Amino acid sequence: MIYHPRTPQEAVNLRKEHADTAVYLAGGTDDLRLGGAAEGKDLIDITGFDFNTITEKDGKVYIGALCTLQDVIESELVPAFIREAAGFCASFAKRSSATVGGNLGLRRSDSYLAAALTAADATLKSITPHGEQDKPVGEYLQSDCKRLIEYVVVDKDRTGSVKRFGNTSSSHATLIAAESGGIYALSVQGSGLVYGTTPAIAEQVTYVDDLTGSAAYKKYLAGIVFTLGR
Amino acid sequence: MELKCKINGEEVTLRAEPTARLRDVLYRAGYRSVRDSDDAEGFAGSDTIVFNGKLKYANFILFYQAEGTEIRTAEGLLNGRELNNVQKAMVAAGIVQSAYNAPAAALILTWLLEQKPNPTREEIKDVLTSIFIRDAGYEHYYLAVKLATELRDFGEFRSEIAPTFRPSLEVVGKPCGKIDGAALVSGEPVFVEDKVPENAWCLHVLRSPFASAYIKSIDTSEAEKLPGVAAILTAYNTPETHYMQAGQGNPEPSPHDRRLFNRKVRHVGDRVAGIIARTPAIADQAAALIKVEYEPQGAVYTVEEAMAEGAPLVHNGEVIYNAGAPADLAEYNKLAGDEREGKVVYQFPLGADIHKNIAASNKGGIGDMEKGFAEADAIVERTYQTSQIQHTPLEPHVCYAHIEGGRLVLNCATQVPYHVRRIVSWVCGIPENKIHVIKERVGGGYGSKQDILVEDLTGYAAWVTGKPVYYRNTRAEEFYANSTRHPMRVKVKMGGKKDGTITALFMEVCANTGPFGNHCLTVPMNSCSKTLPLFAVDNMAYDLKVFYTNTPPAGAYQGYGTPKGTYGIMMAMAELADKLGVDYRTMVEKNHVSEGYMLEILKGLGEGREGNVVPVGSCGLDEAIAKGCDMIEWGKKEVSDDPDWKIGKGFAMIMQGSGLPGLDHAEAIAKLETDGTVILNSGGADLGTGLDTISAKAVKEVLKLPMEKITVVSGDTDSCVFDTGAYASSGTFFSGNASLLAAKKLKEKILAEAALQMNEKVEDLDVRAPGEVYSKTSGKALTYGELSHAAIAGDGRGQMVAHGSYVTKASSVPYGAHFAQVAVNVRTGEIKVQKFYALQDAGTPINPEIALCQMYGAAMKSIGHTLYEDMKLDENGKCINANLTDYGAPMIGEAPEDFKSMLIDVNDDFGPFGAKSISEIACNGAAPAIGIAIHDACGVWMRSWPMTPEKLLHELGRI
Repeated sequence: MIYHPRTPQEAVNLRKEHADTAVYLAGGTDDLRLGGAAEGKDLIDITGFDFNTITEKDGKVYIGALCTLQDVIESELVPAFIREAAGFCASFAKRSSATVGGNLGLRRSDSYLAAALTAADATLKSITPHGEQDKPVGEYLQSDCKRLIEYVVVDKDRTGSVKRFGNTSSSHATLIAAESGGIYALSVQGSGLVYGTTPAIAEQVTYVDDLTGSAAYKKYLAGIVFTLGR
Repeated sequence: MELKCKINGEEVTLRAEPTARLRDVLYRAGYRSVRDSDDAEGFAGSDTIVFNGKLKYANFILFYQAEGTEIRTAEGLLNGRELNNVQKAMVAAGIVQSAYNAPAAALILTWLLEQKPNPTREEIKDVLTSIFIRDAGYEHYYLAVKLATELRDFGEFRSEIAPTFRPSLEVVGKPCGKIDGAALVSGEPVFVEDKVPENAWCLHVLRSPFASAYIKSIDTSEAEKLPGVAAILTAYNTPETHYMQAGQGNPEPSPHDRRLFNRKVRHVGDRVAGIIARTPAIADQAAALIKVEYEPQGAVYTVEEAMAEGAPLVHNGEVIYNAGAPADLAEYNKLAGDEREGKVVYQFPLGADIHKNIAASNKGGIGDMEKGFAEADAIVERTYQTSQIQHTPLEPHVCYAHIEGGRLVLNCATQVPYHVRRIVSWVCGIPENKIHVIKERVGGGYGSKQDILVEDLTGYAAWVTGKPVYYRNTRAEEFYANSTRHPMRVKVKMGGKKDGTITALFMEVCANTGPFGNHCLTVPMNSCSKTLPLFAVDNMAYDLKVFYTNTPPAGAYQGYGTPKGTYGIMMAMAELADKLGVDYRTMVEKNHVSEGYMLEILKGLGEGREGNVVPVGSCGLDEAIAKGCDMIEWGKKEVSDDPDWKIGKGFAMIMQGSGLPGLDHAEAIAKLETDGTVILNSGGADLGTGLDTISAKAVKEVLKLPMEKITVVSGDTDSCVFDTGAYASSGTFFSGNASLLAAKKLKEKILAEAALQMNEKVEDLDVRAPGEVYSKTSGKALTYGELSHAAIAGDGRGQMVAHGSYVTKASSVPYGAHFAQVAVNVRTGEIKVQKFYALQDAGTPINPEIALCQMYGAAMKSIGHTLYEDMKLDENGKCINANLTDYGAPMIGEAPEDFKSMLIDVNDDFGPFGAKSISEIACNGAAPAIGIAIHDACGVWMRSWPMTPEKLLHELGRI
C-alpha cells in the first residue's frame, strides 16, 4: 500500500494511525536498501512536499528535510563542517537521493549528519500529530518520537570540525565525531549519539563489538578524537 | 499499474507493480544497460541512471515514482550505432574490460561532462564514487575523460594512451582498443542474463544453516504439491557421482569430494535442495515447505582447529584412488565413518590424510637447510596470516540452461567452457557431444569463474526437467556459497649473512580449503612455486599442508597462492634485513635470480607431478627494481608536517607464470571466408581481458588484413576447439600462441593455394595489406577474396582452414616490483596509501592500454585485500558481512593518491610476439610493499591481513 498524503500533517496522522505497518518514503536509500525498513511495509510517500530547499533568513540557514545530501554539499549557505559531514556518504549517486530528513529520522548510529548537526546546536522544525514543533537535533535523536522533519535550522556562521573513522570510505562508520562552539558530539556505531560540552562525553558511551571494530577500539578513538588536529 | 515517462527522449508507456524497483522494470523493458550487481545495496552502481537530471540508483526508485519523469540510460548515449565521445574514450583508454557496469560508467561520465565540460580530477573522482570498478582500477577513468574532451574539442585523441612497443609491428604493442569494446560499453545484450527468455524457470537453492550436519531426513512432499514447482532435487534423487567444481585439466589435482547434493552439509550455505519453479516467489514458498531434519556435528574453522588432536573430521568417508593408491588403503578405509559422509576420490596421490583433515600436502627443497642456517649470522622465523577474501565480480555467478534438439545448451559466464562441458557431462551422465556450452561475455571472474559453481546444478536441473532453467547467485550467496581466496598461515624461516646474502630459506604453508578440495594442492603450491624461484639461494625448502574446514569454500583466485606466499617471504626478508642492519634494497638485489639461473627448486613444485627444471628466461626484474626505487626515491625519508603522521616506503619483487607448461593446451581454427575475410575460432575464454583482441591482432600481423575483416569467435564448445581455459595467466601465452599458430598455418595454406592459382612458386609469394598475395618476382597479385572464391567455386580445392594447437614445456615468467609509500597516523591507526607504483615486465604487451588497466585493477584489488577486505564468520561459521559495504570492498576513495603502472620492455622467447602474462602477477605485490612501508613509517610489522587501524593501534600498544 502506498499513501500519498496531500499535506505534511496528513502524513504525520497516517504515520500515527499505521505506526506498526507504515514508513515514510523519501530518498529511499535506506528504506529501500536491501533489508531496509520498507520491506513488507506500507509506504507514506512524502517526496512531493515543498521542504526541499536551502534558504537563509536572519542569520539562520533552513535546510529542507527533503534536500539531498548532495544539495547540502553544494550549498554555500551551509556551514562547511556540515557539508563535509554530508560527504561521509561516499557515493555521489546515493548522495543525490539520500535526504537530510531520512538520515536523521532513521536514527542510525552511523548517521552521516547526526554528530555535526548536534554539535552545531541545530534545531528541527517538525510536524507532530499536535502540530508544528521545534526541537534541538540532539534531543530529537535521543528520543523515539515519530515527528516528520520539515527543516533543520542552523546558524549560518557556525564553525566547527568533524571527523569520521571507518574501514573504507563506503563502509559503515565506526565513529563520527564533531565539535562546534564548545559542543561535542559522537555518533558511535552500535551505541548511538552522545553529546555535551566536554570531550568527556566519550565516557558516557556503552561501546560494543561489531563489524566496524571492537568496543576497545571505539572507546580509544572516542577518547582521543577531540585532541586531534584538524 | 501503467505509467508514462520519457526514456532517452522517447515517450514510453510501462507496466509493472507500483512497488516494483525501477531497475527491474527498465531492464525488463529492454534497457539492458541498467544492471544490478548488489541486490539493491546501493554500492556497485551498475543500476545508475539519470532521473530527472540527477544521477541516481534505479534500485532506490519504485516504479510508481517514474510517472511523468525523464529518464536516461546508457542506451541513449548512442547516435544510431555510433558511440559517443565518452564511450569511444573509455574503449580507447582500456577501461572497458569485464564491463558489466561500463555502460553505467559511460552514462555517469557523459552526465559529468554535460554539467562541467572540463572537470577537475576531484570532480571526476567525486562522480566515480557512484560506481564499483573491480577489474581496471580507476586511474584510466581520468584519462578517458581527458580523451573525451579532446575528441569533443579537436576531433581526435591527443594524449598518449599508453606507451607503444615493437615498431616493426602494426597493432601488436599498440593501444588499439578492444574489438568487443563497443558492444560492451554501449550496453548490448552480451551477458548471460540477457539471453534468458521470459518463460525460463528459476532455480532456487535451499541452503544449510549448519556448518556441519548430517541430513537425517528431508521431506519435500508438501513443496512438490505447490503449483508451479517442476522438481525438487536433493541428495536422495540425484546421482551418486562424485566430482569437484575446480576447472582444471583432467585428471585434476583436486579430490572428487562432493556430489550435486551431499547427505552431510559441510558449511553454512551448503546445498540442501534445489527447487525448480515457475517464479522466484513460488520457489521461496516451496523452500519454506521443505522439512529438513539435521544432525549437527562438530565443526572446525581454522587450520589450527582442523589439525588439533581429535578434531571433528570434515570428510570421513571412503577414500578411493584412481591411480597410485597406497598399499594400506583398505586398512585406512576401515576407519571410515557414517555412510552419509560420501567418498573422497583422488585422481592420483596428493599427500592427503582426511582423518587428519588434510586434503593435500607436499614438501621438498634443494640444498642443505641445516648447513644453510648454520652459516647465517642472523635468522628470523615469523608467521604471517592471510584472511578469507571474496572475488566480488560485478556479475554474480549465473547460468541459463535449456534443451534444444535433444542436447543440453548452457549459456555461461565462465573462464573454462570445456571444463564446464566435461563436469556437466559427468554430473548429468551424458556424453560431451550432447552438451553445448556457450561462453557469453563474463562480467568479472578473477578466478571464481574458473570453478564450475553453478553450471553443474543448473545444467542438471534443465536436463532432468526439460525446462529452461535460470540460476543467479544473490550477492550474499557469492560470499557464503561460492569460492573464496584460501586463508593461509605462512611461516617463513630465513637466515642471512651480514653482507645480506641469504643462506637458507624455509616456508611452511598451512592453507584452509574449506569444506571441499577445489584447487587444494595448486593454490597453496603457488605460494611456494611462484616465490621461491625469485631467489638465487642454494638452500631452500617448503612444507605445505592444506586442511579441510567448515568455512565457506575456497578455490581459485587471481594469483592463486602467490600473493600470500609473496607477503610472507618478502616481509620475512625485510625483517631479516632489519635484523642484520642491511638495506632492504641491497638484500633484494643481492639475492634475486637473473636470466640463465637454473631453477632447481621447481623440480618438486609441479602441480601434482614432477615440475620442470628450467633456467630463468627473459627477466625485467633488475630494471623494475631500479626504476621503481628511483620513482619512489628509495632511501629518502619523508616527513609529515603533522607529528601524528609518519611516512614510510616499501616494495616487493614479484613473479607469476604464463600458464602451466606441460599441462595447459590451447587450440584455434582460422578460416578464410569466401570474400577473403577471416573468422578465427578460438577455444580461449576472453573474460574481459582482451584475449579475443590478442587473437585478432595475431591474425592481422600475419595476414595483413584490416582489423574489421577479422572476427573472433571464442569459448563456444560447438564451433571452437579445445582450450583448457583462461586461468593461471594462460590466456595470452597459450590461447594467443594457438591463434598465432592458426594464423601462420592459414598463411601457409593461402600461399600454397595462391601458388597454384597464380602459377608461381610458393617461395616467391608473400602477403601484404590490405589482404592479398603478391609475387616478389612477377609482381602479380591476387586478393584473398579472389583466391578464396576460386578455391570454393565448384572446381577448386576447398576452403582454406588452418588449425593451431599449442602446447609447450617452455616457461615464460613475468617479473616485476611493486612500490608503496604509506602515511600512518600513530594516534588513530589510519593508514593511507600515498603512492603506489606497479612496474612489470610483461614481455611484449600486446594490448598495452588494457595491460596497464589490468595492473591498476589487480593492484587495487590487492590493496583491498591488504587493508580492508575480510570475510567474517560468527561462532557457528556463518558469514556475517555478506555484502559489499560490510565486507570492505575498496572504491575510488581507497585508491592511492599517486598511482602509476609501468611496463618494463623485455622481449620473451616463447610468448606470442614476445608476450608474457600481465594480470595475476599484479595481485602479488601490495601486501608486502605496504607491510614493509608501514614498518618503515612506524616500526610495526603487520603480520596479518587485513592491516587495519585497530590492529595497528594494538601493535603500537595503544589499545
